[in-house]
Amino acid sequence: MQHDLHIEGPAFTLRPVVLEDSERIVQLRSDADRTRYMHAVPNDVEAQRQWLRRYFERSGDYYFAVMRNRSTQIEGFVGIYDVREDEQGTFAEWGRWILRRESMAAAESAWLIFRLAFERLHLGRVFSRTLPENSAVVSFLDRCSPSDRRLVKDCVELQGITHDAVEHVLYAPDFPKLRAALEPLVVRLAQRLNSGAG
Amino acid sequence: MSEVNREVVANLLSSALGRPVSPETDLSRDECAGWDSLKHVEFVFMLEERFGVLFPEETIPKLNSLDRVVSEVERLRAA
Repeated sequence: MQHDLHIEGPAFTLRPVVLEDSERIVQLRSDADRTRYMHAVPNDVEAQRQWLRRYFERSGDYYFAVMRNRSTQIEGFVGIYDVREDEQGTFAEWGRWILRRESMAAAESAWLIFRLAFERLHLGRVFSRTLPENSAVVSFLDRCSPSDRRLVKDCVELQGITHDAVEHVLYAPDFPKLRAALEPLVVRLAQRLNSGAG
Repeated sequence: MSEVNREVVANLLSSALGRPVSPETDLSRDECAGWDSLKHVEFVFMLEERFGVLFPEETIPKLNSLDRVVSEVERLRAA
């Protein structure tokens, strides 16, 4: 949806995706190595622009560019989508998380998307689904949601094939502890990135 | 070139990953499911503190095996 949510961290900012990001989205999502565990997108900027036009009309869907503060370079993208309610409250899925090869934005972009979810959108919980083969991301998310993860059978379809997925759920009351745990690492890494040291 | 104790590097990696790492083999990130971005950054900071080096930003993502790490630490210490 069209939105104006921004969140600035010490080295990176999440800002709303705009139509002009189409080329960068296609560039990143055409890298087979970065996207083997994601839905394929056509290597077609105009098709991506059309997808974004439909996205702008969709409610409960927040797509962000991950921008490096110092250079304003776009390192990747991430989103929160399918915002809805059930008996437990308001919740959403987060994903579409992709970063350029060798980007250092992983920790901070995850920290920021969680902050957006809980501090700005006031969601009660967020969940993500990751293919088990994507072991590095599963491991990363195990750290963020150590107590609430499960295998969901046949829930993700990629390129016509149905896959199981590891679902991680993070609840709002648990986020302050995670935020505090990640923040020192995020801040220390940002100091390195911003100083250009080394 | 100043020789780096491979066992020390392996112990630091073991500490970051939360699993045993043998200094005898060249464990690589590709073959280690739990070697994620968070653990990688923590490992890098441990190395910098232990060996008194500062990895250039562009090098950090490339420290993806025991051999590469030992080699890079040796290079920085010799510089």
